[in-house]
Amino acid sequence: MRWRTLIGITAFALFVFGCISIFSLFNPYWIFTISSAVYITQACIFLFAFEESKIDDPKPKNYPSLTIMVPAYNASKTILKSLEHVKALKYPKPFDIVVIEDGSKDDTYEKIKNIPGIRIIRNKKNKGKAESLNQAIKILKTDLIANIDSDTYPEPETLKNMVGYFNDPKVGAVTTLIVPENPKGFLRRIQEFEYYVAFGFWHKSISTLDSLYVTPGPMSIYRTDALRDVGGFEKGNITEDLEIALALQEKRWKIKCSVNSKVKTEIPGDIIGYIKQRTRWYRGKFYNTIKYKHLLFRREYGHFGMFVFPGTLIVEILAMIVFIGFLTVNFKRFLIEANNYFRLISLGLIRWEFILQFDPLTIPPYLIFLVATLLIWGYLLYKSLKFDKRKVKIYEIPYICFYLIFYSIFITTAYAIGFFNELRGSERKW
Amino acid sequence: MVSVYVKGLILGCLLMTSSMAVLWMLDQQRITILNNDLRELAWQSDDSRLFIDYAEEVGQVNSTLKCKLIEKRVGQQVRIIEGLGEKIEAYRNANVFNSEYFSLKKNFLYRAIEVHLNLIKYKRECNGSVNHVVYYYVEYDQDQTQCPDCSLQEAALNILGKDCPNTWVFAYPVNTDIDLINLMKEEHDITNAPATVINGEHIHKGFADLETLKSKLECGENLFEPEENTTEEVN
Repeated sequence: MRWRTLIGITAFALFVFGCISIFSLFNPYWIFTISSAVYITQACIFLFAFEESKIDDPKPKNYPSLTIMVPAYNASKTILKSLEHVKALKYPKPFDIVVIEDGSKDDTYEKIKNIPGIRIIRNKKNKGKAESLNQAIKILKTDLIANIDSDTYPEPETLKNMVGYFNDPKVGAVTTLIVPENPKGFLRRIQEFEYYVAFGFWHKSISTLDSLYVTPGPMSIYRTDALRDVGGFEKGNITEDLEIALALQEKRWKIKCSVNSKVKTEIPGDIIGYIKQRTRWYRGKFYNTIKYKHLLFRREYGHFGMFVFPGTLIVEILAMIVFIGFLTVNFKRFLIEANNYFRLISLGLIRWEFILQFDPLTIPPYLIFLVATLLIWGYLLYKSLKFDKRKVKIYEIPYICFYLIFYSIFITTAYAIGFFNELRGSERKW
Repeated sequence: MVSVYVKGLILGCLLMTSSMAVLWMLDQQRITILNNDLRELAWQSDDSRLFIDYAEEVGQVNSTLKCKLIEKRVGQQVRIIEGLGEKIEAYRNANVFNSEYFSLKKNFLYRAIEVHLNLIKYKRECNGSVNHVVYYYVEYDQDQTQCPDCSLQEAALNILGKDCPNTWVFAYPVNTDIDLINLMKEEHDITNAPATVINGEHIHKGFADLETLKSKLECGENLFEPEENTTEEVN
């Protein structure tokens, strides 16, 4: 076992021990109270920021020259549909489409090689998304560069809606609303609501505070000068879309968000794929937070340095403490109760008349905070769906309930795994 | 833009304060319910004690009437006390702000002992067909490390109470500073929990299953069921 792995495992074990100690030393109700206060207050601040944001996108003073980069690796199943949507994008000026075929092992290249109107850069060996994009940035001469993933399908008006933000010369990047393509199946349906809140409400309100810290991989537009200013994408970074946004924030470029057109993207529908994707995201976030830690609590970075960046970090750490502490403390209790039930059943001591006795005054106090958190998150979801005029169907209500009540468990589990993987220094890969 | 933070903070504080207020109200409601039950129990205890004292000291009441009246009073007490101990435990687990539970529990234990003694007196003096089971458990043992079998014993005793309605279970903690409970423990040589003493005679240390418990007592009807009101209002 490598030293780094050993140190990482020890550090994670100490973190878990710390979480359990916090739960043992202090009344769990007060830990819930403090963490709920932090979550609720942060959500309220973003809610007011969202209310102050302008949903209508600015009209472009002129239409800058633009190139669309489509990095593709083993994208045989989706690339044609993606390029079809890219070519259908409405823009008053002609724009270039560059596909960077990054050494795919499937027939991606064969599928695209004869498509007219696109330029293909072909890598014989797989170099990774960041390096592929950097290759293109070096040779492109347009004012703006749009990155669209090869499993992403933008609506025709997307470009026109987004480019108006570049009227402000300090804007370095613009993001858009990303929603899942074909959200069928339990996990995809739940993720659809998550995407509306995260890429719609959350990004819009954070961008109002000029503090957006991610330019989502599926689709973002960058000012070419801004990309060159930050030296392009970091090679080997597993969340290059997060890293580039933090680099832009470091150089004081603004990142804006348009929510008036949708970009649909393929998302994992199975739990393994989901955990893998999220573990990568949160591991990347942990890595990039350490890389850009010098931006934390720095007045010169405004809302980003003083509130949004440290705030999200604090919320995530608190979520992990509460999750791990609650899980370990209650897991022990759960085992005891399960053992009790097993013994009660084996001794014939279970009677429904006792199980069904319920006094509403015995509800655990943390349920009250859960209700308060659900109220605010429910409202955020309502706002998120409202600006896209997305109507909720009755059969979707259970998915919404699951999203609001239990989904944070998935997220925090993935965050904890990502945190653990980063600590133990396992290989960073997509 | 500062106003966003101020507004967010105000709304956050409002939501948190509302949640805390709900918690506080629930705490108050729980305490009020328990206090009312205990107050009612205290009145019933005083009433019973005075009546029994009167009957014993003055002796003007014939024994049949005396037993009827004792039965009525003990019946009122046991109806109030039934499940009250478990309710106090459940409410204490849900409690956040109140620190009254220690004294409430102690108050309850004193009342429970009083009812217990009245029941013994009723059984002895009136030949009442009732059973009293003393169950010793460990208090403040959330993780069930000190008494892993206590929850099983409680389930068995709950079923016993349902199957034998003339049986009354009095649960006393082994870790208590109430002298009378400690005296009872010494008399029955109880050092650990769970332990059960049936009708003051059959001592069982460790977990006693339902069959064992039932074999040591005579199941019967509940003598203390409230009589149905058969009187009619006549204009």
